[in-house]
Parts: sequence; structure tokens; C-alpha cells
Amino acid sequence: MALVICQVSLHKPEIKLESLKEDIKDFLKTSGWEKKLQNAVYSELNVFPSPCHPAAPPEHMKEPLAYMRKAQGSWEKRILKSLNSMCTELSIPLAQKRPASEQKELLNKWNEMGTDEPDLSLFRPVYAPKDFLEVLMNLRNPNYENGEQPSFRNHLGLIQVPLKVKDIPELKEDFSELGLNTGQLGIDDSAQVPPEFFENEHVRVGQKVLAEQDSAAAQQYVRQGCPTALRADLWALILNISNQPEDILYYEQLKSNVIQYDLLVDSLIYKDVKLTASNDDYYFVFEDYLYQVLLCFSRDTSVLDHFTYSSATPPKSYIRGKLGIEEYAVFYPPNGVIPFHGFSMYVAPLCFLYHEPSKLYQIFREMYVRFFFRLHSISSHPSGIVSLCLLFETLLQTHLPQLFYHLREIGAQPLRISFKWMVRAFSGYLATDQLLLLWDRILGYNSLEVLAVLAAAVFAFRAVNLMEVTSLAAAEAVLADLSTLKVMPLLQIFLFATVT
Amino acid sequence: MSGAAGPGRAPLPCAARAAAALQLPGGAEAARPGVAVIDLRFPRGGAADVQEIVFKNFYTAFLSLRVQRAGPPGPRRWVTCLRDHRLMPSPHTEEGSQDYFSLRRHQMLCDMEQVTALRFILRQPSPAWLHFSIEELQVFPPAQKSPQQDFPSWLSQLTPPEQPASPHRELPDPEKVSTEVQQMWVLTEVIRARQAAARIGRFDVDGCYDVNLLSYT
Repeated sequence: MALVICQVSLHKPEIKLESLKEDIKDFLKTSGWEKKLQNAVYSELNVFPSPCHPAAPPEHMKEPLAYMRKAQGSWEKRILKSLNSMCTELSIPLAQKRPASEQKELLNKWNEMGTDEPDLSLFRPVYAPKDFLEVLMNLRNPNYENGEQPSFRNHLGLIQVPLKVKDIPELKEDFSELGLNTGQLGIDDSAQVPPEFFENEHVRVGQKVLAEQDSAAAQQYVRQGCPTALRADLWALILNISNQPEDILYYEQLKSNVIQYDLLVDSLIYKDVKLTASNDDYYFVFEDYLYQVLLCFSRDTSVLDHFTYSSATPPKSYIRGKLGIEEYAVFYPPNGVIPFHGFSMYVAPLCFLYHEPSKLYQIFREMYVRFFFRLHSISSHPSGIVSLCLLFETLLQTHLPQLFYHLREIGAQPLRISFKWMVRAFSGYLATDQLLLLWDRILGYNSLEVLAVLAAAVFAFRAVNLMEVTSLAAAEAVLADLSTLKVMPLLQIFLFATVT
Repeated sequence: MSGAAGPGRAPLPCAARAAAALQLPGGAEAARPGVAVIDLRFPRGGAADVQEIVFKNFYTAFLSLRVQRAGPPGPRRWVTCLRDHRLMPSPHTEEGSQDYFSLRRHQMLCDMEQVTALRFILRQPSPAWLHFSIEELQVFPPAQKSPQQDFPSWLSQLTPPEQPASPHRELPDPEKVSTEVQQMWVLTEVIRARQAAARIGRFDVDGCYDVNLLSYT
């Protein structure tokens, strides 16, 4: 696109032949294209991992540790078996073309798919977070001393793999903008604090960042929180989403794919939305949007690109009757992602920010391929769910040893309670304004570690009540309702104001 | 021997003996000393120049390297060329444990010419790991100068040396202009070729997407 603009600019009179190179550079700067190119490069740097050693095979970039690759492979095989058995039980094909009458009906109902009440009683989610937790608990490095006797090598929590996780001094350094001396939205914009102290200036800086259209500056800015009015544009700037006509066209093409083809995963998506988002007080109004986004997401082949740096592999299949013939091999679903119970909650909070379906779709897709995919695949990445779980357990054990020991003794391992929060990035557990403040920091720091820190901070906050419980059920009850919690004070106190 | 060598690079043939753990004389039971040694010699007692050593780590924390060089006849000395090179930032945790590494000539403390034998001394002080070693060891000689294959080399020599702006500025200098335009043209051609690989977004095969069951392989 930038190249076409350059070629067009060559016809302008102010471009002189003898200084062609410099004039093109100046033109790029004045027309704003230099900024767009910078933003695009910055975006790529954020998403893609640093280049591997040339001798490393491609699977090494997906996941360097062999035993984790193997565990991910076994887990995927289990999911495939589950989906296949559901297919054979219900005698429904995984995918088929819709008859023309059905296509027309769906097109008419596109904006109100929530009014549909298909019979989904026979469908069950392919897996739930607690199934995934069982797999992670059994993850072992065959080269590690996993002796039966308790020793310093056996972790006291549920995760038994020795990944490197940060401790509080390192987290303080990484999350320095959350410190006590820096203004935060979520703390310094409360009713008691006069807006002249922080809020007005912060909004002014935010408007300036948006005017400059600088991704890197926006990412730095949101570390202190986004003003509500600016959040949608700032997130779009950080994720480098501009909703060009070709993007809208792409979304329309996905929509036509939804109309044409009927996939089994559509029913799984319907079921998930009905079970989770539709039952949520905050999100049920967005039910129709969720279908419009998730059904298109399943058919988006550009999502397949993220599998180069994800430890997961997209499921494969063959066109009916052509088993084993490579020309008829396809990915299923087309985007390679099989939704699980709670998947729609990744989209729901975004509906508060974006109302135009194609922009909402692109924001969600970018959030997924940058962050959310790490929450349901087995990898050693510092933002992967395994590292987050270990970080949570280590923080709790180090800074609240008495609480950790007590919960362990009564059979209430803390991770059993906090796992579902982290897998969903707290969506559906926190109040929406608090959740969006949390996701501001995920974008700002380009890392999911803040989820593990928040989980530990929640336990620290309710420590007194938790010390008095005597069973897992009672502990769950203490931590059942997080909707009144304020995220930023919890994070700040845990990181910067706890006596270590 | 697998692994991607660059154009014109082939690993030197060599015989590596398996990692031998350090043992104390008179030790009764097999202790785990945390130190192992891998010896590498070139076939038929040959010697070679070493430019780069590539290997895959397997839970080794520190690596030292000593070489024996061809020299005047007499007892050959072992010279240390790499001392305690850190492969795993934290020996108790997984970071760097299965990564690929390169050791290059400029990192070495001594010359790497006419090397007859290499000795890799592996150390893993953490008792948490059952085994440690390095794998897929490859030794590369200095590369021969190979011609550029991306675009014709005569193009890269076209940039004329910087000349001061000529005082007679009626017409632009044709040499300079044609150079710059040609460079731009090459870039657009390269990008145009890459753009042809843009995805169309179709997931079906010839309009058909009838899928029955998932495949396990």
C-alpha cells in the first residue's frame, strides 16, 4: 500500500529527479506514511518472537522444550478424539455446505442470531478449563528429579515444571509505572481526588498521543490506564488496526463464508455463548455481536499465521472421500482454533468499546493472536499459562506462606481456584470497568504476567477470611464474587506496599 | 548431521566421543559430579581452521572449550579458548536448556587455526537434572566468498562516490539519477515478487468443504 502511494507521489511536481530518495522520504513523513510504517514495524516486533538460531528447526520457534511439545501434542489429540466422538454420536458432519434456503434465512437473521433457539442439548463443550488444569498438573520434565520424597525440587503447588518466573523485585522493575509515585487511572481518578492532580493532564497527554498516531507512545501511555473516552482509539492504535476498506471487505467475505458453510464448531460457539455471556449481567446485551464475531473468526484463515509462534498445531482433516490425499487436506476449523467453554468471554468485554462489527472483529482477532492463544496452550513462554500458574503459586508461597500452607493442608490448592480467572483473563469475574483497566496493562506491557500478580493480590486481600476456612468449597465461596474488587489498588499494594 | 548451513558452508567431518562424566579415582558408587567432557577429533589426525561451532544444548549450564593445535613436534598442549560460557542463565530453571547456540571465532580467547582436537567441558552445578549434554555438534570452517545470489552484483556497485553539487544546475546529473532510479526499480521488483504470495483466504478445495472427521496424524 505504501509502495503504491510512493509510485503515485512520483508524479507530483515537487519531487525532483536529482533528489529522488530524499524527496520520497520527506513525502512519506509529511503524508503520515512514515508513522504508519513505523507503527506497522513496531507491531510486528511486538507479535513475533526474536529470530531463532538458523540451525533451529521450525518446531523450536513454536516451543523450545521437547517435552512440552509432546504434552501439547497429546492434549490436542485428546481434543480431536473428543470432537470426533461427538460427531459420530450425533451423526453430524464437521462441515457441510448450507442449502440455499438456509443461506437466505441466515442472511436475513444476521443481526439477530441470538433470537434463534436451536436445540443444543446434545452438544457439550469440547473441554473446560478444569480439564486443562489436570493436564498441566501432570506435566513433568523427564530429565528433572521428580522424586517421590518431598525435597526442595518438588514444588508445593500444582505445577511441577521448573520454569523461570519473576520474583517481586523483578516485577517491581518491570511494572515500575504501577508504582506508588506514579499516577494511575483506577486509583488517582477516584471521586475523592481532584482531577487537576492527575486526571486532566493524563487525558490531555492521551489526546496528544492519538493526534500523533504513534503506536509505541500509545503502548507506553496505557500503562497508566486509558481514559474511557479514548480507550477504543488507543487500543486500535496499539494493535495497529485502522479498519481500511479492504479490512471491511475481508470481514464481509468471512460473513459470506459463514452463510455458505455450516460448521460443527458453530454449534459449540452457540452453546458457549448461551452458557456464559448470555447469562452474564454485563454482557448479555451483546449476544448478537458475539455470534457475528466468533462465527467469522472460525473461518478466518489468516489466524493460521500465528501457529508459527504458538506451541499449538491446527487440526487437519480431508475432504469427504479423499482421505489421505494431500491435495484434499484442509484445516478444521479454517482458523485452526477449537473453542472451549468460556471462549466467548474473550470477545465480550470488547463489545463495550467497539460497535462496528468489522472493527470489533479485527480488534478481537489481533488480541487473540497476540495474547489469548497463550492462555490455552502448553508452552514455556513467560506469558504462557504454565508460567502464569507457576508465577502465581510462587508469589503466593513466598509472600503469604502461612496462607499457602493452610490452604494446601485443607485440600484447597490455591491454583484450583485462581486457574479459571487467569484462563479467561478475568473476563466475567471482575466488573467491566475494572477488567478494562486490567487489559490496559496487558496491552501496555505486552505481557500476561499481570494476570498472575492480580490473582495473588486477590488472595492476599482476602487472606484473613481464607485463613478461617476449612474446605475447598468454603475457600471457593470466599473467592466466588470478585465484582466489587478494585484492580489497581490491589496490584499496587501487592507489588509496592507489601512488607517482604 | 542435520541443521541449516548457509550457502557454501558444510560442517567439517569429525568424530565426537560421547560425554564422559568426571570420576574421582577410587570412587565406589556412581556419583553425579556435574562435570562432563566431550572430545572431538578430526579424521586421520587432520587439522582444520575453525570458524564457528554450532550445537544444541541439553541442560548444560556452563561450557568451557579447549583446543589442541598442530604445532612443532612434541607434547601437545591444550589451550583454553572459552572459559565458563554461560548457556543457562539460571541453572535450576529451564531457560536456555534446549536452545541452539553458536560459538564464533571472535569469541575465543585464542587462535582457532590448524586445530587438531577440541575438548568441550560441560558443567551443570544444579542437582535437579538427571542428564546433561550437548547435541548436534557441528564445526564449520571459514566460509569461502560466494557471489551474491539475491540480485546482480553489478547493481550494488552502481552507487557513484559522493560528488559535490555541481555549480551548473541546469540539468540533473544523468549518472546519479539513473543510478537511483535503477536502485528503486530493483526494490519495487523484489517487493512485487513477494506480494504475489498474498493469501486469498479460501479454506475450501474447489468450492467443497465437506469434512467428516478429524485426522490424528
